[in-house]
This record gives sequence, C-alpha cells and structure tokens, in this order.
Amino acid sequence: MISLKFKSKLLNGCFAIALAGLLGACATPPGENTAGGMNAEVNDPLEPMNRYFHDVNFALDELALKPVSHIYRDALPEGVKNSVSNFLTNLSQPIYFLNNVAQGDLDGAGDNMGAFFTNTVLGFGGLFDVAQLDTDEEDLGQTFAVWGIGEGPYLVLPVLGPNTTREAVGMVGEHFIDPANLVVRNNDMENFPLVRAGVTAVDFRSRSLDALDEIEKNSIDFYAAIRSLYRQNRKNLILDGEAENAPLPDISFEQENDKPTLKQVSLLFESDETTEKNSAAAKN
Amino acid sequence: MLRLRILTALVAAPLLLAAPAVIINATPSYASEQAEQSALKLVEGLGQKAVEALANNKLSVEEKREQFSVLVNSNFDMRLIGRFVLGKHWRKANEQEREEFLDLFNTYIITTYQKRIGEYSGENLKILKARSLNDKEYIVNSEIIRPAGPAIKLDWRLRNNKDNELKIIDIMVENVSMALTHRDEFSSVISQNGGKVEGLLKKLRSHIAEKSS
Repeated sequence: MISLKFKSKLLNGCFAIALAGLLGACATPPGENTAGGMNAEVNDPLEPMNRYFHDVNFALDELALKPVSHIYRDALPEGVKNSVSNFLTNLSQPIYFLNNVAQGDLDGAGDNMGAFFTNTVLGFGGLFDVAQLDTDEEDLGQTFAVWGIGEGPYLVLPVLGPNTTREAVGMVGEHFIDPANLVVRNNDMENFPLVRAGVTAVDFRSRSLDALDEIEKNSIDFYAAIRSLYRQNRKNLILDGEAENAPLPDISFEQENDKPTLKQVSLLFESDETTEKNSAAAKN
Repeated sequence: MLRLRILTALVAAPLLLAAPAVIINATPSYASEQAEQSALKLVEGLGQKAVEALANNKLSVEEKREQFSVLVNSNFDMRLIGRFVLGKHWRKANEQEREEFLDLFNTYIITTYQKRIGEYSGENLKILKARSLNDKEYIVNSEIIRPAGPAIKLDWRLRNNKDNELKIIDIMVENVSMALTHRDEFSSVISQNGGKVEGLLKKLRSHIAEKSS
C-alpha cells in the first residue's frame, strides 16, 4: 500500500516538474538580448528558480549532509568506507547492466554482470571488490542521451540537486525499473530506497568535501560553476570516460583579431549532439 | 560457452577496428613525434618546478607567488585563454576593459591555483603520454596520484602559437575543461550584471582583494 502511495507521489512530482518546465519556457521572453539571451544560450530558462533551489540545497547541505559527511569521513577507517562504496556500487550493477544493454554497450554490460556475480559471491555480498572491473556509472539519463534525446533545460531539484530535464525524468523512471528496488518491493522493505539514497548521498559527499569547498571558495559565481561542471561531467559519463572522442572546446581565434566568434559559441553549445555522434562512432 | 563467445567477439572487435589505424600509423612523422615529446617535457618540467617552488619552506609567501606567476606566464598562453574565457563578450569590451580583464584574470588564476597546489600533501604528478590532436595541438595525459583514494586524471592541452612556441592552453581535470568552466562562470556573471563586462571586472576585483588579504 505504502509503495503505491509513494508511486503516486513520485508521479505527481514528475508532472509538477514537467509543468514547471513548460511554465518556465512560456515565461521566458523570447529574443531578449541581455540576461534572457544568455540563459537561452546555456539552456537554463528556469535560472531564477534554479538559483533559489541551489541556495536552499546548499543551506540544507550545510545543516545536515556536510556535518554528517565530515564525521563519516574522519571517524571511519578507510576499509569500512571502501566497503560501503563497494556495496552501493554492487547494488547498482544490475541497473548499470540494463542500461548498458539498452545503450548497446555489451562490453560494459558483460563487465557489470561479471562484477555483480563475482563480488556478490566472493566479495561477501558486495562488500569487497574482488572483480576489480572498474565499471562506469550508467543511468537512464545516459541511455536517453545515447538514444539521441537532448538534455533539455538545466534543472536544480530541491534536495536532489543539479539535473537536466532528461536526467530528472531518467531518475524517476529508473526508480521503477531498478532490479534492486523490485526485489525489495517484493519483500516489503519500503524504507530501503530512502536508506540507500541517504547512504549514497553521504558516501558521495564525504568524497567531495574538499573539492566542493575549493570550488565554493574560488568561484565568483558558485551556481554557474556547478552548472558548468555538472554538464561537462554528464557528457563525460555519457561517453564512458572516452576522452579521446570527447569534443574539446574550440579555442581558435588567434588569426582573426576582432571577428565575431559566433562559430565557436555554437560549436561549444551544440556539443551535446556532437557528443552523441562521437559516442555512436566510438561504439561501431 | 556463450560467455566465451562474447569474450572472443569482444576481443576481436577492437582488433578489426584497429587494423586500418595501425597501417596508417606505421609511418609516423618524425617531426610530430618530436613535438609530442617536447610537449611532454614542458608539462613535466612545469610540474616539477611548481611543486619545488610551492613546497619550498624557505621562500616567503611573496616569493612563492612571484615564482609561481613567472612559471604560469611562461608556460601558459594566458592571453589566448583569457580571451577564450571572456568569449563573445570580448567583442563588445573596449580596449581598456580588455587589458584590465586580462590583468585581473591573470591574478585570479594565480591566486586560485597557487592555493590548490600549495595545499600539496604527498600527491604526485605522474606524466603518462603525449599525442597530437591536430597539426599544432597536443594533449599530454597525466595523473595525480594521491596517498588515499583513486588517482585523478589530468590532461593538458598545448598549442604552438604564432611564434612557434609551445604553450599550455587548457587543463582538463577528469575531462572537465577548466577554461570552459571559467568561461561559463564569467559569462554568467556578465549576464547577471545586465550584460556588462564592467560587472565582471568589479566582481573579480573584489574577489581578488578578499582572497589576497
């Protein structure tokens, strides 16, 4: 019963997000040249709302996630933390497997399967990474990207943090198809997804404490820095870290001194499409 | 059985793909190989000198800063990077704004990255390899080996400039371009200030004043 309720809640949330996206798109005046134009270029029509939730999220982070992650990082021995990471990764191998199959990456899917069975059996339920296969993180958003769906506007969700519309939809969809969630749903462990999300958050945050502090201290626009890092990181994940195929930003204008740099700008921001093309080429 | 067949297919596939590439690469041009080597040497030398200067406790803060600044300006094409980072706003900035921006950008980069490297604690820069990107650009792959945790991937992008000097034009940390990140950040500040470059200059001035005090 509860899981049904949770389902409907999630669906409502999904609709709300979609609706907000539509409203936001309508609310943006077309063809404005200063702030609005810039927002369109970085595909962030909801920037004011996103900035608001960015602030909310970092306030919450300061209150709860960051202190917990600090304690987690400093109090626990390295071995325990590694086992937590390994366990979480192992739990996600089935969904990585499904995504890799859907992306046509059978090589990656084989690794996921191998890692899952080896680590579950020989690694005491995934606590130890015996297989050492170094599998990449795969999610439904990446699968959508490989299928050629554009990333859509940037979206900062309350609590969940940076996303794009594509990734947000993928995240909701993945909740329902994740084999780990299906198994626990059949065994009446309703709190499992929440606990898993919480532990994943602490695990991730404890490893990014210094890096994020650094970015916050040194950036002159923290929100924009995170947005840029998030997008670049997603592109990297979609390419499975194949940097050689990744389009590099076009840094070329030393000959023409004051000509418009339109070409570079468009190249830079259409790189999502190029990313997918390259990704497809890399697979063939 | 199936697993074995998949394995064979997986092993064979890259070989098939690689075959034409091998033939093309069988006659590597000597000049490009030499240039790749000099790119590699440049990054290696820079890494050593930077760590040497910043980990040297005999130097005062001012001296460290000075040495680091010299290293950055002699190895990076700061003018090109600065211009890329300002992006389309470069066009509408006037000469005075451009010069002030390049100056502030230089100070900003030095302050920011000096701190990052200054907090050096047992990490090691391991240079891996260099390859040509096109006829005048090179990528040098390296890794930061940390005492705890996995290594961090660090790639350097170099280019031969007009005077045929090899300069670094971008650093990519885990495939995230620093030049692009700064560019996105700066252009956001400009649009937050009604599209005026002066808004960015003001922000940079106050940021630098705050960090160096």
